[in-house]
Amino acid sequence: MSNRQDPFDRLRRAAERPVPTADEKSAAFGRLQHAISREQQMAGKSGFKWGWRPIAILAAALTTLVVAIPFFITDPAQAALTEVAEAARVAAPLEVPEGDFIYTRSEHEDLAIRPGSDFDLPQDFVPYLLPTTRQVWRNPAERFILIHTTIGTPEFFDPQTQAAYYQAGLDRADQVGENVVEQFTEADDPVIETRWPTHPEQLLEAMEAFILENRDQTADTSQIIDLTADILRETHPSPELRSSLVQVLARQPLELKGRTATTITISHISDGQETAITLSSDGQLLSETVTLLKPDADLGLPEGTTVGSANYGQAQVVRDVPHK
Amino acid sequence: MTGGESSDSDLIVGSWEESELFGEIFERHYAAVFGFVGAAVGRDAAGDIAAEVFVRAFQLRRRFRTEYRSARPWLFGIASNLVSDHYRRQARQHRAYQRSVGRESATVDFEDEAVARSDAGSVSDLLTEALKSLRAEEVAVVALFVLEDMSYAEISETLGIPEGTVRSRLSRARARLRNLVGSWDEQDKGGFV
Repeated sequence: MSNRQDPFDRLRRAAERPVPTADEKSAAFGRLQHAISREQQMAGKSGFKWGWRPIAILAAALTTLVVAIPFFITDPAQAALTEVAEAARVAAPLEVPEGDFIYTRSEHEDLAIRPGSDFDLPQDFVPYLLPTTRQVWRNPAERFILIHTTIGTPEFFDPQTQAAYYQAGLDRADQVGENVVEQFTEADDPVIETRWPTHPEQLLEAMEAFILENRDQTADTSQIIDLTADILRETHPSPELRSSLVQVLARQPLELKGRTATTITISHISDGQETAITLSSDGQLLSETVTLLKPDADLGLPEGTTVGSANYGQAQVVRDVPHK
Repeated sequence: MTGGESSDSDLIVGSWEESELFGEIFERHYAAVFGFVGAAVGRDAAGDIAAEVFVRAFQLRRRFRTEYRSARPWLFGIASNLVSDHYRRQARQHRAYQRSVGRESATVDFEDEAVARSDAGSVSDLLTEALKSLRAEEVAVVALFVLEDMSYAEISETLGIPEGTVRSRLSRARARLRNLVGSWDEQDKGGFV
């Protein structure tokens, strides 16, 4: 292999390794210290040994701890999620009589991107927002899923794009105004098919393994949030699993973005965008949003643009479906 | 236990009970990790990713294989995966949430097009330009091979993938990069032939 011909050798010669500044190092060490502090908070005081204590005392202490844990935890997101997890654990399960269906309705608005040539515009790529309404009927016993997706009227970031969109007939390509019906039996969705453990630590391990196998090369917080939302959204989990999912979220570095008497909103920032999800007080998924925290120069999107949102109605049990 | 006299392995095991000990791992390896990440993704993104490497490593420290004395290959494994994720996310950012609605949508092949788009003239560093042209699963392998001079076996160990997979990914990446590097060489000579 000659150096002239091997691209890797060429890359080695091109590589330059930057040296971190004191500020960069300090900021990085601060993040590590934050992670260390969070773990210490979660564990109580590190080094505390329980092993010698009588089982009865341990059980009593744990019972007290479960009730009092939100008052000990100083991280607001953790404290709020711990309360939600406890409410989820004691919530009534969704009972689905044989032959009935779980029905959910959700409203979405997502960023769509097309090549500028589709619009006959000079830009390489053109973004717009495409709203959809999604209705899902699912019969877990029969492994039957019916999905109705109604495509709404797109929203544009400037009037020129809007005019070019309709001029080019892209509304027909997007099936705007249409109701797209999909029906599956024996649907093979790994999120649904996986038997998720209900112990929080085992669940986190299972989720990390699932992500590494099916989705990404690292099971980071963004991926954990995505998968948690998928499980909450698609599988209608038992109260025990829902509680554990919320406990998994409580172990992630999240911010408490908002709280009402009946909801909490937590968020995570990664790669210049903020992902926020809102849960009911007993751990049902109510909404998700993804917002740009810095401008996207390539797409011409300003900071603060919401590039994805979804609102979920409460799951209901219904006797029938529109088409089967 | 003091950091200066202990192996990385000792420190990491010690940090299972005394988590502050992990700070010494940071002190020993941060500059090297920053340099590796910075070479792979460019200086602007390096700070965030290098910091995340140590947070992830701390959270995963019980999985560190304690038979190894040095933590550096393990840290580079985490770093190279985050570098892959970085390039993948650049594309994903524009794909924006399609999976959650379950629609294939009208949006062509975002990952490929977004990667291609981000190449266009904005990147001066040859290595980052090259890594952007690769598939996500190839990025970590190439970064370790090029920047750390790791052998196939070392990359296999570091990333936890079979050695044959390392070979095939490097082979595909080499083929993909040959044309790109060729165009740089032509430019170096003063123009295209």
